This record gives sequence, C-alpha cells and structure tokens, in this order.
Amino acid sequence: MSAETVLIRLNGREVSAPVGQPLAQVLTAVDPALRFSPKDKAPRGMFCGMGLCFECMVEVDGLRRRSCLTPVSAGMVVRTGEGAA
Amino acid sequence: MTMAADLLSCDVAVIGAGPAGLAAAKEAAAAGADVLCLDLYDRPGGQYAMQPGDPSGPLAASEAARLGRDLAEAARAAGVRLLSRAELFWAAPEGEGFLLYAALDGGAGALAVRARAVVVAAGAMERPLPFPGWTLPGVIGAGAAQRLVKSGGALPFGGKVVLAGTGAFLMAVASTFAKAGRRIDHFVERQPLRPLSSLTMLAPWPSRWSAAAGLLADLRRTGAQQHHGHAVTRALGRDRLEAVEIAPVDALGRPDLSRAERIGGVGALCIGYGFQPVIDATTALGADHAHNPALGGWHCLARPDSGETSRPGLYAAGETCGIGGMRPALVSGRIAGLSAAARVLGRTPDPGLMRSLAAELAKARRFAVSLAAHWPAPEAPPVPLPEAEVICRCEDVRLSDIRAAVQAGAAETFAVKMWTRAGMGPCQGRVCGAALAAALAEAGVPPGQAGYNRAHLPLRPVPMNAVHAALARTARPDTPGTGPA
Amino acid sequence: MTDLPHSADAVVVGGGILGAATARALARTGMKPLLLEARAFGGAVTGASLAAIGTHMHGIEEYPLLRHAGQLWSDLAEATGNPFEYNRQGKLCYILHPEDRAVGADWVAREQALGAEVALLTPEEAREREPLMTGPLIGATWAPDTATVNPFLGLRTVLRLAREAGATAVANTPVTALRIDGGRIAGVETSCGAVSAPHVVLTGGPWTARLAAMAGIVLPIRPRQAQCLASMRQPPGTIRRVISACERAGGVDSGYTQIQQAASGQVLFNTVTAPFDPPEGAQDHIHEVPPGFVLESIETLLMLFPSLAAQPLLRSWVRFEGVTPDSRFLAGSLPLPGLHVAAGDNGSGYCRALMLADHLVAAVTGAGGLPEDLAALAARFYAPMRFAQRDAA
Repeated sequence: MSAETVLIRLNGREVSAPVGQPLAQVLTAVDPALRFSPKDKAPRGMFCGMGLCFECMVEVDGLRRRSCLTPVSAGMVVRTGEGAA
Repeated sequence: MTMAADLLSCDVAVIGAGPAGLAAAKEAAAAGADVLCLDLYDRPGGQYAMQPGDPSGPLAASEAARLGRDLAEAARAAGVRLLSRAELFWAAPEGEGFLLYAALDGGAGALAVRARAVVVAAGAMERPLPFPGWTLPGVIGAGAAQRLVKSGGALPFGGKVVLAGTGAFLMAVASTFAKAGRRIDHFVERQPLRPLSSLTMLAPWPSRWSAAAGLLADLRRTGAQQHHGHAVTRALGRDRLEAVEIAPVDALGRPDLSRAERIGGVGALCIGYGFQPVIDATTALGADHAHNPALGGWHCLARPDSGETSRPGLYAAGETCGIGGMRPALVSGRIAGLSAAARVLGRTPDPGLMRSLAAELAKARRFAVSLAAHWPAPEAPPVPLPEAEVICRCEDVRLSDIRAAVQAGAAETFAVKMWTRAGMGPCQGRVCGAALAAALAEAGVPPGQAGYNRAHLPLRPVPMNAVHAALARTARPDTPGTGPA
Repeated sequence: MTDLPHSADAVVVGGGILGAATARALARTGMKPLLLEARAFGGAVTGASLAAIGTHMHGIEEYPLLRHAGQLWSDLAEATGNPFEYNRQGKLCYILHPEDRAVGADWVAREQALGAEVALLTPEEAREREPLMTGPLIGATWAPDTATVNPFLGLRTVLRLAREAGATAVANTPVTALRIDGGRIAGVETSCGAVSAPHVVLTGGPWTARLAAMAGIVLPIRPRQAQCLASMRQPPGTIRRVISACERAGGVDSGYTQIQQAASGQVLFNTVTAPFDPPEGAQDHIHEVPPGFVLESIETLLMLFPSLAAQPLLRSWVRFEGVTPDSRFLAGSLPLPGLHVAAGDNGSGYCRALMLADHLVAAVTGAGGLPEDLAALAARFYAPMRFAQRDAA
C-alpha cells in the first residue's frame, strides 16, 4: 500500500494504520473478534463487509460505527470488545 | 441536539452509485434533468466496479475498476451531483414527488432531499445461509472478501484462506485475489465439475468466452486446491475460526458427513451462496415486490421498458429488481434514468431507443438466467443445522426458537419476528431473512407467502440527532439548516 | 399448527394479550375455549405495546381495579418463574413547569389516601432514581408499583398457560361472521370453517366494533394511531424506570410520553402531543410513523436524557388502539345472550388483561371472577352498553 500511515488508539494502545483504509481491516488484523453478541456474549467479527450486517460495530470517538464503512483517520479513538456495541 | 441538516432539491434522485445508479444518473442528467446521486460508500462504483484503496495498485487497472471510474466520470461530466458517504435512512412520498433523508459520514451529518422522481439502484448483498459455526469471527461473506482485497490489497486474517459456496461469483472473487497477487488455499464449490454442461451453457454467448477462460486461469493462479462437489459443513474454533470441515455432496446437494475432512489452520472462510436484492428503500415506499429464487428472492417489480415501479415516479434499476449482474444493471439503469428524466421534464422518451434498450436488457437478463440455472443458489441451509445454531445474529435467536414459533402458529416472516425477535436487531432481517424463509418453507409455508420484512424508519440505524436534523428540515420549514433550501 | 375444531365451549375472538388471558381464565374453570386470531398471536396491538403495568395517574375511581390487575401480573410472574421479564422498576412522572407541581402533589395525595406508596420528589431525588435524566425537570412524582413486562413473552406465557389449561388456540383464522340461532349466539364462521359454541367473547381491540356489528350491535370503539421508536441497545441501567409526563395544570394537554429501557437494552420511547384519530379501517393497513411524532419523541427523550443524542435510532412502528369515548374499557355481556366483549383498551390493555379476563369469566359462566367488591365496580365502570343506554335515555 502506498497510503500514508497514521496512529490510532485501539483499546488504549497506539496502532499504526493506513489512512483511509476501512477500520475493520485494521481491527481484524489485530483480532478478528470485534464485539460480543447480546445474549450469548459470543465473539463476533466482520461478516458482510459492506455496511449491512452491523456485526463490525465498534465505538469510534464515542460513537457506534460500522468499522467496515469507517475510514481510518489520524488519532481516532477506537474501542472494541465488551461494551463496544 | 445541535446538528443542522442540508436541504437539497433535485429533479431526479438516484440511490446508489454502482453501475445501475451511475448509468441512470448519467442518462437522466444528459437528458436535461437536475440529478443528485447518493451513495453509501467512500467512492462511487458500488461493489462490482468498486474503486480499489490503492489507486496505483494492480487492481486499479482491472476492467471493473475502469468501468466504475468511467461511469462516475461520465455522470459528473453530464452534471450529476455525486454524494458519497450518504446513506438513505428514510423515503416518503410528498405530493407527486418524494422526500429523502440521509445520514452523512456515518451519522456525523444529515441531509434532506426533495426529489420529483427517484431511481433506486441499491444493489445486492450476500444472501447468507447459516451452517454450524457460521458466527465465528473469521467467517465472512465472499463479497466481503472481495471488498477487503480491493480496499486493502489483502485479507486481514492470518492463516489459510478458504473460498467456498457456489456460483460464478466465487470465480470472480478468486479472480480478484489472483489480480491482487493473493493466494487462496482451498476453493470449495458445491457443484461438481461439469465441463460439458459449462460449455453448453456458454456456447450461445461467444462474447463471454474469453472472460470465462480468464476466470478459470485466475482461479488456477491463486494456487487454490479445488474441491468441486463439496460443501462446507462446519466452521470450528473457540473464539475465532480455526478449522473448516468440508464434505462431498450428492446429486441433491446433501453433504455426506461420513466423508467429511478437516482443513486446519484456517484464518478466513469466505463463503457465498448467492445474493439478494437490497429492497429497503423500495419496500419503504410501498412498491410491489415479488419472490423468485432465480432472482435472489424478494425483488422490486419494475417495468422492463421504463424501470417504473408500481408507485408512479419511483423507478428501480439493477440488482434491486433481481440479481443479474453488471450488464443488466447498466442497461436497466439507462432505461430508468431516461424514463425518470422524461417524467420530470414532461417529455416522452425516444420510443426507438427505449425499445432497443428493452431488447438489450432482455438479452442481458437471459445470460443471467442461464448462469443462475447453471449454479442454482440453494434455498435452504446446505447442511442440517443443530437446533442450537444461531439464526438471527443480531438478537441471538436460535433455530429451536424459530421452530417453536412456527410450531405455535407463526406462518409468516412477520409472525416469526414478533414471536422470537428474529429480524428486530440492527440488520433488520437482512442477514437472517433467507434462513427464516427456509424454516417456514420446511413447515409448508412457501417464501412468496411468508413475505418479507418491510422496512420502516430508519432503514438503517442512524444517530437520533441526525434523524432529528434531517426530518426537522422538511417537517418544520423554519428550521435553520446548513445549506440552501 | 393446530386444526380448527368444529365446536367449543366458548370462542374468544382476537389473539392479543386480552384474548389469551380470557382463554386461559375460561379454561381454568374447566371449559374448553377456542382462541381465534386473524393473523399472528400478539401481532397487532399487543406486540407493539410498551406493556406498562401500574396504577399511577390512571384515575382514582379505577384505582382498586388497577391495583388488583397489577397484583395479578406480579403473582403470575412469581408463579411461573417470570419468563416474561416482569420488572417492577417504578415510574417517574417528570414535572417541567412550576404550575404543574400542584397537580403532581394532588395525584400523590389522593393515591396516598388509597394506600399507595407514591411520592413527590425533588429533582435531586428523581436523579437518584434515574441518574442519566439530567434534563431541566423541577420535580417528579414517583410510583414504585409500576412494572413492565416483555409484551411478546408475556403473551407467549399466557398463551402457553391457556393451552395447558385446556384451551385451543389457532392463528391465521379470521372470523367472517357470528352465528346467531334462536335469539342467542351459536358460534362463529371463519375463513377455515364454522365453529359452534354457546359463548363468543370479542377481544379484537380496534377490530371489535366490526365484529360486534356482525351481530347488529354498535360499539363506539374507534381506532387511534399510536407509535413508538426504539434506539439501538444501550448498556443496562441507562434508563432504570418508566418515564412519563406529569399531568399539566389548567387542562393544558401535556400529551403523552413513555420512555423505558427494555430487557434487550433498546430504549423504547414515544411522545404524542396531538393524538391522531384515523378513519375506521386504518388498522387494516401498514402505516409509517409521522415525521412530527418522530421529532417530538426525539426532542422529549433528548431533553430528559441529553447524553443519548448520538445513539442510533433503530426501529419505529405504528399500531392502532381501540378507543372509547370515555377512555374506559367496554367489558361484560352484550345484549345478545352468549355474546361478550372486552375491548377499547385506549392503549393500556396489557395492564388490565388478567383482571378483565377474570371479569369476563363471571360474565360467561355466571360464577367466579373478580373478588366481590371489585366485581361490582368493574360491572359499573366497564359496562359495555353504557353509551347505548345513554343514547336511549
């Protein structure tokens, strides 16, 4: 990738990521489990990859976003896992 | 609640900037209409003609990426206002026209649109069929895999890659991997190898021969071990995908579990059993829909010679009217764009042109139909499911819950939803719809009778302040906005 | 799926919570009732309900009946192991204007006189009970006896109990005619065949007037459009109570507000300032929420809970309630022997369902039913032909 790399904050940790790339791609490379299902609390990850299944929802700068539709930008604060969505 | 929304007006609003939407927008603008095209994604192109994340990488030179660029350029040159990262969340009739509401940039902003005619070209999405283990992280749609390779150049999962399911699309995904220089470890196609029937299917379509040969060559280039006549019977792993089990299937498509073999060390299972039309906007506006398995199930009905739906002024094009691929999408987009422009400009479209486009559409659809017949998409989950398998991923509803609801008298999708909450979560039934239909079919209710989840406000989850800002812009004319009324 | 029987001891028409409760109550007397639902059980009014159960600000005259009704739900939750998310979380009615404080205080005093544990709270006390309600309230009334149930699960439980007690329940079977023979009810005709029965109970919500008209009886029940919004799942405890608006002073219409968090985590909320009376027949079609309603509901929610502003809206739905001219149920026997009714829920049928079912048992069997003092009150308060009598007089 020729894209510029920036730092984002993932669960309190600095991670470098190519700017503009779908956030889901970066998060999945770290851990494919992005959140837990509501009742069973089973780990879930990105599924449809095109914004329609909502399995990849995480918290970005305090808002719940589909990470597959959210482009990486410098300094974004991301929370996955428990309590993300 | 301080968000303010733009209010835009246009003659024709086009929903979706894939091949159908871009073709519709360009034709309508070229005919003299003021056209606004809203699209959910970062860049126009839709799924097929998606623009790769790396504009100088190998995928940027592909025919599909070129098509997307050319279509977007032609639309812009014709005067179309193209709005990316704009997600339609509600549509309502207003007089003879329509009001549309969209979230911008994932809900950071909002927009209201007043349009005299609307073309919905919302495309298609995976039609997922559950199988044991399908909710494990690492199991993704085949379409998701293609998007990931296009956007990031590679899949973000470690371990082996298994591409599985059925249909010509699997070959297209493999081709994308090959062009990106990426490896696939196993290719699992439910249909057996059928060189003779494949040749027979392709024989009347010489224009497709080189593309078909290219797909086969690309599949070989991925290095994938090919398992034809096999299906994935299980995804295994604790907190994420670790292994995949595949088994040969018989002539009726039933897997022989006694001959299952395990593939270990798997990081990504990319699985696709076909597509379904995205119909939330057209169902919300009350257009007529019909069910046809060969077209991906529920689809919007549009007149082939005008693209008009049962609701005057509302047009539909591309996959929203039934799965058919890029070529019918392009032609149906042109037809809908020309008709919509003619309506708002008070003209009649050139009858000769419309006739020839309708003929071209019929031909393109014929090829799609023969492809669909060659790779029939299974209607029911391809493997027997354990009762405890989760069917509705959003609400953790299990197959046993759904069977209990059907047993208790639920005889339509709506009733199963009321009874179990399946389809009440964020995806609003898009992901579990096919599996619910299969569960009802098993109890004797055919899908056409079971009905679909009609979309209500909001079509997609949208921040409440964004919903408020957009609706206030039209419901309360004195609401201050960020742009011209 | 169940086959339609040819006969039953009683046919209950309408498979919402009230019909299911009536079928169960009748079956518990040893009868073999048949519950018929035109489409899906709980699919119309019940499933779209917010299922609040309580007594506060519902009226002093009906108070003893409502207290009993609430007790029946609490008892049912205990007896069944609470499979329907019964949650006695209490209700806060927020006060925004100084002149309304006296109204709240008056309700509290009158209900306290009836033995209720209600109270008038300061804003600080209200926030202790509802920490995220940081909006500009100047006080609130507090009723700890208000509960909610999951409307689907409540219906499923009552329906299961009805079946276990001997009732038959059949969905997707609209009643097309009432059979009358020798001056009394003789059964029903349905899309799937006829059923003979000496008693028919109409519990069809907004469709009840149409059913009664099949016997030539005019019931003043009209449909009223009601709607609701739901947010995406929020952390548990985001909203802890049922939140409602306190009645306003001087006859000012405060409209109607209800906000609560379901066990699923979704926040369910609605605010209606101008109730919308659609034409008869509106209940037969799918409707969409009006934009003005969405704006008012979001404004009220975010006025009270500003921290939810960027949380996603997930769903909206419309239902039709059966409304009577005086906003009371019509429940009891009709002037055709064997025909009975319980309808006109005014949007609060869930609360009264188990109590009214007992009331109907007495109407149908001539025995059992509510405790004696309550039975007399119910007979008077819910008299189904009270408007006809008034017209005749």
